[in-house]
Amino acid sequence: MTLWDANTWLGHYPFRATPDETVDGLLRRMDRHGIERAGVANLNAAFYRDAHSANRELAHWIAPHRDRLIPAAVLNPCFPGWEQDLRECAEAWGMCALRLFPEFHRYALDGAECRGIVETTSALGWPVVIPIQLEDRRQHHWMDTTSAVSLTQIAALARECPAAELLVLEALGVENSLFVRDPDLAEARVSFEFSRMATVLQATIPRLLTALGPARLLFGTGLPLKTPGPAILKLELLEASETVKEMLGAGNLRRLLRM
Amino acid sequence: MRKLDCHMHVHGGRRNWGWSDDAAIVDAADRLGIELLVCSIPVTDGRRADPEEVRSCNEGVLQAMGRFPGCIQGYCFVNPGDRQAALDEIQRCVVDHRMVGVKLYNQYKVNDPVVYPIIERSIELGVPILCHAGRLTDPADLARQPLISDAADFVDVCRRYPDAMVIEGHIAGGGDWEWSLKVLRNAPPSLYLDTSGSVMDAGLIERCVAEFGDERLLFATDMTMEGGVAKILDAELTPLQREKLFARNFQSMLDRRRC
Repeated sequence: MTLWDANTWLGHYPFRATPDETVDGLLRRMDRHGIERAGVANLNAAFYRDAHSANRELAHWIAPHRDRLIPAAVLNPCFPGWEQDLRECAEAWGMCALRLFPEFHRYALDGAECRGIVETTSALGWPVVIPIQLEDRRQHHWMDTTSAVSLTQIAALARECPAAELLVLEALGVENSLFVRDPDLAEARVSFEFSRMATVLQATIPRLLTALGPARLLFGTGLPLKTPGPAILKLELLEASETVKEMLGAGNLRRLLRM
Repeated sequence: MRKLDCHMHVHGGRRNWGWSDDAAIVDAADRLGIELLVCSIPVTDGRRADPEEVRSCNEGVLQAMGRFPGCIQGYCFVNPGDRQAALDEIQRCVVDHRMVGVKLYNQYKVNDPVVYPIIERSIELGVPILCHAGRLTDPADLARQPLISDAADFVDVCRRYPDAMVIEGHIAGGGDWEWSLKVLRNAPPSLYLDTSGSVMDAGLIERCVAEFGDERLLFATDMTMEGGVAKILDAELTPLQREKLFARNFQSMLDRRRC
C-alpha cells in the first residue's frame, strides 16, 4: 500500500523536546514506516511574528529532498505582505499548499482576512490545510493558550469559500459534526486526515467512509510530533477494497496536490 | 506476543461509551491480538457515586464478564467515601465473582485517608487497584475534576503501602506526562503505570521506560485501541521489554492474587 502522509512537520516545537525534528530524522522515520512522500510545513511559522521567515527556512531545508517532501507554506493573513509572500512560496520555492494557524496567529477562520487568503490560495489551485491542534489540550504548556480549531468554524469557512479545497489535520468528532448532519455541506470540498479517528471499536473511519465517501478521508501521521504507527494500523485494519485504501493512503492527497 | 489490556471499559449502569455493543470490544481485541481486557464502569465527571449507582456499574461489568468469559475481566468500582458499602462491594465482586481488582475514579484523591481501607483490603486479597489519574494543565479541566490524583499523590500513598499494587492510569491521557514522569522517578515498588490514553506523542513510551523503568509499566488502551497497541509496537524497545509491557508485568500482578 502506498503511503503519502498529509500531516508532517519540520522545525522546532517549543513546548516539548521532539525526537527526529530534522529533515534527516523525518526521512528516517518515513523510511522505517514505509511512507513514500509527505506534505510538510515548518512549525516555526506558528511562533514567528513573520511566519514567512519559516517558509524560507523550509524551502532551504528540503531543497535536496523534493522527491520525498512536498512543502506547504504557512502565512498569517493578518500580517502585512502575505500576497507577495504567497507568490514567492509558489514561484520561487514551488510550494503547493497553505497551512493556517488561526489560533496561534489569532484570527477568525470565518473572518474577512482569512477569507481573502483562502480565496487567493484557491485561485492558485492549492488546498488550504488547517490543523485542529498541535498538542492535546490537557497537557498544554502554560504559554500555549490556544484552543482547538472548531469544526463549526471550518464549516463556516467552507460555506464562505465553496470553491476552496480544505484539508483538516488532526480531525476529531467529524462523525457528529455539521459535515455529516447538514445536507448543505454534503458536497463541501473538505477532507479530513484520520490519525485521531478509529477503525475498530468506535469505527469512526468506516462510518465516515459511508457518510462522506472515500474521497474525503486522508492518511496522515503528525510526524515527528506523534508516533506514526497508529495511523498506519488504522488503515491496515480497515475493511475496504484495495482501491479505497489506496485513495486514503495516497491517492486523495495526490489529487488535492494535483500531483 | 500476548497482550493483556489492563485498562478498558464496557457499557453498563448509566454509561454508554459510544460504541453500539460490547461485542465491538471483543471484535477489536481479536483484530489487535489482545487476549484479555480488564474493564470497569466508573462514575465519572467528578460526581459523587452513591452505593446503588456503584452496584449498578459493577453489575454491568459482571454481565460483560458473563457474556464474554475469557476475554473480559473486571475491576470493581467503588466510592471510598462509603466505606462499608465499598468493602461489601469488593467482597461481592472481587471475592465472590472473581473480578481481578478494584477501580477508583476521582471521587477522592488516591492518597486521601478515606481510601486507606480500600487499599488495605486490596493488599489482603492480593489484587491491584487501578486509579484514574492526571496532571491537568488546563484550569477548566481541573475545575471539572478537582480531586483527580496526580503522580505525586500516587507516590505518596505507595510509600505508605509498599505491599499494595496501585496502577496510575493512562499516562498518555492524563495531562502533562513529562511532569508525571519526573515525579515517578524512583517511585515505590507498589506503584505501577499504564500506557493508555489518546495522546500519541513521539518518544512518550521510551521516556516512560527511561524514567519509570520497564518492570511496572503496563500496556492498556482505555478505548484507544489501535493507538494503544501501535505506540508500544512503534517504541524503540527490546523484544523482552515489549513482552513485559504487553503482558508479563500485568500477569505477574494477577499471579499475586490471594483470594
